[in-house]
Amino acid sequence: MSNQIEKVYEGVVVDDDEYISLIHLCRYCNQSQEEIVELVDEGILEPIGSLKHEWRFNYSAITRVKKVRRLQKDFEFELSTSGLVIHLLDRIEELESRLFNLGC
Amino acid sequence: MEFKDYYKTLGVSKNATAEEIKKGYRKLARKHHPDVSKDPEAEKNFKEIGEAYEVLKDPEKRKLYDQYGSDWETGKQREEYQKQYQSGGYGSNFGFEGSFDTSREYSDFFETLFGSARQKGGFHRQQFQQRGEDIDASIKIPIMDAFHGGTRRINFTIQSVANDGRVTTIPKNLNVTIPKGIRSGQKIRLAGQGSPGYNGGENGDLFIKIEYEKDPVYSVEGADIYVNLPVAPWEAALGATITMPSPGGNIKLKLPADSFQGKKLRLKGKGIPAKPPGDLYVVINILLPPANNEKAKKVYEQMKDLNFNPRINFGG
Repeated sequence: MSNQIEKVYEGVVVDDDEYISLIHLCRYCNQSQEEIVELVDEGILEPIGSLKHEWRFNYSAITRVKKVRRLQKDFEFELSTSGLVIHLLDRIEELESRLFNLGC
Repeated sequence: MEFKDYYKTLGVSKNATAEEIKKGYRKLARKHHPDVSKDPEAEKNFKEIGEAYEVLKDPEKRKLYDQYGSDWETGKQREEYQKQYQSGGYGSNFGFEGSFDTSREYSDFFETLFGSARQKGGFHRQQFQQRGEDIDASIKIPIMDAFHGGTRRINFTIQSVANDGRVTTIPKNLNVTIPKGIRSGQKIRLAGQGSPGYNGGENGDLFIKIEYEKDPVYSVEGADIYVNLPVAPWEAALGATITMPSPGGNIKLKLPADSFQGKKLRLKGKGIPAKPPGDLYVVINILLPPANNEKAKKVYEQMKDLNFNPRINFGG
């Protein structure tokens, strides 16, 4: 049996204050800039900043983009439908967490 | 390798129309899609459903599959197919030139029939570099770990794409530091611990979402901790000093006199040590001594002399 001390990994807490740029988001999600712009126009992503190069996204945008595209593909939805579904899924998650905290 | 009955997977007959196939798929997708279903088996189930639909919705793929399906019965044919697959030339022998869903992971059965999606070049060209996929994982931790910090082991799987296009799923596990003060729902990012990059591309990251386990004593909202404190009626009425548990150890709580049922006492800064630290809320829960003996009944009868009407607001 080895006496090696196992490495413990320390990550960085993804802060609500930590933002990524449009270029980074494109890279993390495998999307083109046009594809991300489409999501912003649809209201599915809400970056801060007014011009494209000024846009800053929360880290949560990465999961959101992947989810929307997955819904579009797997359910053959229009983009606007995916947007609505994501919005409702958010609501469900919020309600479930409130129920959990109430001890249900 | 076992034969996959795509018609059975979608719950349709072999003569199903395109419309019936679509309906069958949609019904199952709604039930088993991992984004919509809470079932831990959802991802695995949906993989099968998605693959079945991709084959049956495309007339070309469906034709190939139907033909292959009937030929599968003959053991000899099956051997031949598998031999050809091993030599790498199978897909092109069948002459399938259609398109693939390049983001999907296919079963061995599918790739025997249609060739490897990545070999077909739909996804990667030779010199192309691709960043590895980010992995999203989540773990449940006891509230104490969030309060004091700790380490947790996390299991997850990454996907590695070899140069010939074959995808291997590799299970991994790491010991991860749980930072003190982390809130439920927050994520920890471990750079480079996701899926390896393709062709020299950089690794993806590992995102671990933290969720609190249900605790028998504490409940949490954001960074605030709530604890129910059972007290005796005289403690609430006359006030008392009560020793009670808290995540940081026992504390002596001064309960003021005339405390009502459900009263919340706020202990500032004694919640989850997040930035900013949350508070600890003690919720008073008055319990009645059971009236199952003469002594207790006598005391309760005496209390009637207090002439207290709890339903004064009901007009009764």
